[in-house]
Amino acid sequence: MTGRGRGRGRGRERAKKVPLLELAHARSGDKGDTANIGLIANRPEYYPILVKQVTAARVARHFKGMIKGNVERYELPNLGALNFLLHGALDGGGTISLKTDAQGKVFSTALLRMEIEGPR
Amino acid sequence: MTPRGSPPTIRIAAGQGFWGDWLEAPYRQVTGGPIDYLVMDYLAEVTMSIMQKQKSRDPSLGYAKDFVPLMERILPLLVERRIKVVANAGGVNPRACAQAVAATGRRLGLGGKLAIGVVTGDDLLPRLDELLAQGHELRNLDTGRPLSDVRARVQAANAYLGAWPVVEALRQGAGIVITGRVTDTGLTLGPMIDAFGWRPGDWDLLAAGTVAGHTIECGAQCSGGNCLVDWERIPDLANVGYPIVEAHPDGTFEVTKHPGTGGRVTVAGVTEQLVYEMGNPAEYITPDCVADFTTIRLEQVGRDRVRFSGIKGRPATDKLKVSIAYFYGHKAVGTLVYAWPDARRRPPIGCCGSACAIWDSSSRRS
Repeated sequence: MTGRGRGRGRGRERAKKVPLLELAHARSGDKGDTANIGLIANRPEYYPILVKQVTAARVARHFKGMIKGNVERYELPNLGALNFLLHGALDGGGTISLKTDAQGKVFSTALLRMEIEGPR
Repeated sequence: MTPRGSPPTIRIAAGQGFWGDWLEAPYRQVTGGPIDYLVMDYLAEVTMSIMQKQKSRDPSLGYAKDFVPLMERILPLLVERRIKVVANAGGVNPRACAQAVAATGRRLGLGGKLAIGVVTGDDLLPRLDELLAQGHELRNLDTGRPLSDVRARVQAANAYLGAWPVVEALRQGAGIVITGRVTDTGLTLGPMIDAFGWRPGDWDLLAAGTVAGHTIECGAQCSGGNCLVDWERIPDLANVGYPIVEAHPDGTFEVTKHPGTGGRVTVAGVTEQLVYEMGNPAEYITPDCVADFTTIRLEQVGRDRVRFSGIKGRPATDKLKVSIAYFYGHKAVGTLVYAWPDARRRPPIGCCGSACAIWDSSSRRS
C-alpha cells in the first residue's frame, strides 16, 4: 500500500499508490471467449480517477499472458462504472476451456489488485 | 387478471437463477409475501446440450426434472393465490415438461383449475440442414467460422426467443407458462407486457422490462449473494431473500425482497449484477429490444429497496441468436487422495504438471 517507485516529478506532493480494491468493487462474467469486468467506483468522486487511470491499455498490461486478445473499455457514468471486455480470455470459452476458472469469475478481483494513484 | 384497467404495480419474483439453484427459494417467494408472478430461469448454454443428451436416451426427458416436484409443492398455493409462473424449465422438451406438471396437477385435484401454456419453436436441431441449405451459414460469433465446420458433431441448437411468445401464452389464459430457450430477460419482461399492455415499438418500456429481467435473472446475485461491498456484514445469507421486481406501467420499477429474509438489496449490489456478463452497455441486445444500460438511474429509496428509472431502449435487431452445442472431446476434473504416512511427500510421484511444483515446494517443509 505504500507508494512504490517515484512519482512523475511534476506534482509537489506525490499521490499515494493504492490498490483498486480501496476505491472500487467489481464483478466479472463471460460470453463466449470474452470475459467482462464491471469496475464500480465506491464513491462518485472516485469515478473520474478510474476513468483517467484504469485505461484499456493498463488493464491489458495487468492481465498480460492471461488473455490472448485485446481489451475494450466502455464507460457507464450513470452507474459510476467502467466495463472491460477481455477478448480471448477463456481459452476458447467456458464450455471448452481447460482453465481452472473457466468462466472468468476471478478476473474481477484480480483487477482490484492493480495499483493506481489514489485521491489526494 | 389481464389488462382492463392496468394494475398500477405488479410483483414479479425470481425463484431460480440456474438449473440446480436453491429449491427453497421459489417456495419462499410464494409464501413470504404477496407476489403476482414467479419467474424461473433454468437454462445456460451448456444446459441445453445436457438436456438434449437426456432426451436422446429417453424421449420423455430433456427438461429440468426438479421443476415437477417443485410445482407439486407449490401448485395449490399458486392456484389459491392466483400467482402465475413463467419458467424456461422446458429445456429441449417443453411439452413433456408441461405434461408432467399437468399430471401432477390432476393428482392434486386441481384438474380444470390450471391452464398451462407451452412455448416451443426455439429448437432448431431438426431444421439445421434446411437452414444451411437455404444459405444461412450460422457463423460462430467469436471465431467467425461457419457451422459447417462442426455440423456432424452438433448436439443441440436453440434460438433465443424473447418475451412475446410468453405474452401470447399469458393472453390465452395460461397460469403456468413453460418454455424452451426463452431469454432470461424475456421471462420477466413477458408478464410486464401482458399486465401493462405494452406494445411492440414501446422501446423504452421494453428496455426497462429487459433491465428488470437482467437484474433478477441470477436470483440472489443481486440481493446480497456474491456482493463484494461490505460482504462480511450482509445478514443471514443462508436464508437469503431472492429478488422481487415491483413494476409500474411507466417502466419504472423497484427491486426488493420479502421482509424477514437474509441478504441485502443496495445500489452497490444491484450495480454489480447490472454489469455482470455485460458487453457494450449501450447496446444490450435481446430479441425484444436493444437496451441502453448507460441510461439507468438507480436510487436507494428504502431499506432493501432500489428504484430504477430513466431507462431508454432502441428497436430490436432483425436477427435472433442461436446457441449451438457440439461435441468437442472430454473434460474431467479429479481429486487424488494421499493418506498417512508420508502423504505430503507422495503426490509428486502420482501426478504431473504444474500442481506438482506447488506440492514440491510445500513438501520440502515437512
